[in-house]
Amino acid sequence: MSDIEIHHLGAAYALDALDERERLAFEAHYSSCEICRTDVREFRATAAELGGLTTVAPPGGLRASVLAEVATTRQLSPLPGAVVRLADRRRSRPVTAMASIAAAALCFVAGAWIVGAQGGDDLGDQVTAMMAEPGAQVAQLSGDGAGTVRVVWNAERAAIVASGLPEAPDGQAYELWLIDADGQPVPMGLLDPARDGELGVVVELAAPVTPAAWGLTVEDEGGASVPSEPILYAASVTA
Amino acid sequence: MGSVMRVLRRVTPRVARDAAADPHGDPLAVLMQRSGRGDQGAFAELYDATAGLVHGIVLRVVRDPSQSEEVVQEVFVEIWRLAPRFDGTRGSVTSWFATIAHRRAVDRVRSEQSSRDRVEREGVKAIDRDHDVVAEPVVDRDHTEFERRRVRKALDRLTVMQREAVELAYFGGHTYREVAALLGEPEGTIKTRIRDGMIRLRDELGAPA
Repeated sequence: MSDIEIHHLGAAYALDALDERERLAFEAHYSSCEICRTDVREFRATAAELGGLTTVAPPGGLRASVLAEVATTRQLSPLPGAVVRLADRRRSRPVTAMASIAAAALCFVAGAWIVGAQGGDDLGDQVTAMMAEPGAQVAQLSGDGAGTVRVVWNAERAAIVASGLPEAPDGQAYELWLIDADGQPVPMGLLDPARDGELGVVVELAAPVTPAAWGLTVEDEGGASVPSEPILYAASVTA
Repeated sequence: MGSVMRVLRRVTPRVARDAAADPHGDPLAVLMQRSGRGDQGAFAELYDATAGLVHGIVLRVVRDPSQSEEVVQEVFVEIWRLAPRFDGTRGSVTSWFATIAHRRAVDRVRSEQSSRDRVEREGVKAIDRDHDVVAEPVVDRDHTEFERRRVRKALDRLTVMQREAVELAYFGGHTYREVAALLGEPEGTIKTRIRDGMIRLRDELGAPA
């Protein structure tokens, strides 16, 4: 997929017309691309107008059934800060945000080292460029917590793109783990969304990796050599 | 969507008053805000105002009425769970509901059977079917009729091919690759057609507030 092509997927995305892999790739890209975010917002509104062509009143009994389930369903907590507002803050304080995240992320780890940590459009551009390279892969990590965590990787780099994660407790930070084919965890870097709700880290790989899984845990802010239970977000990778 | 707002104003004057105080003027957003604080009464009003939209979208994609009912229930329960996180600056309430409804409907049909099976089974039906979108009986027929005419008029501005691609993707719940297979066209062509069609539709309908 070329750089330009990914910017053109907004319409198909808004129609849910991308297959799983492209959808994950586009989601990793668009959350940090202002043009694509606008595209998606507008195309979704357009799609909703199409949806309005076929309004059909549901069976009468459904209302009571929905409201009964709602009455016993817990709502999610609101996010600490709206991601939209964070986008503005990022523009106004780029140096501070980058410096603080980079400081948290600068640590040597086995098999990989952090070369840069950025939020914002630079990250979006880097992820886009990575997706354009042959062999790029994407995994969406799932877990009980809020927010989304995606990992994009190819032979040279891995990028973590996270948004809407709950704040890590004081003195702790999120850490990404690669689980190799033998089931051994390899620490891949720290990220601290407390400062920027929406955040990514690009990790330069010393050698190509073949992850069997990716996982995200909360560790002491210096990082850990083995992941602490529980693994909060995880994705297994099928070869 | 304007029509829903008009209906709501008629049915629940209290909501309309709140909306006057709301700078964005969307009474559904006010209900969303209350729902986000756990107000089940406000959520019931939201259900009444949007159930036809959500059910219509789901039924169109899923087709099976009893499965559609299940999906509609999932959609509203998901909306309830997520309500505290609704952010009106990222789009309107109806747009958000429609997005969740369509996504859930598509998830349902795609998890049911492999895409290829579906293309083979429904391919001919999908291509041959009448492109005129016929609305089923609805509660708020009078109020949405104007809106529908506006959307149909916008659809008429698309080329036949653009319209076909957009409709197969949205109403058929197909990926653009599946649409390409259905129509026997290259994937890149269909991707472009969908994009061009959506851009024209968006421009004809006017950018969202």
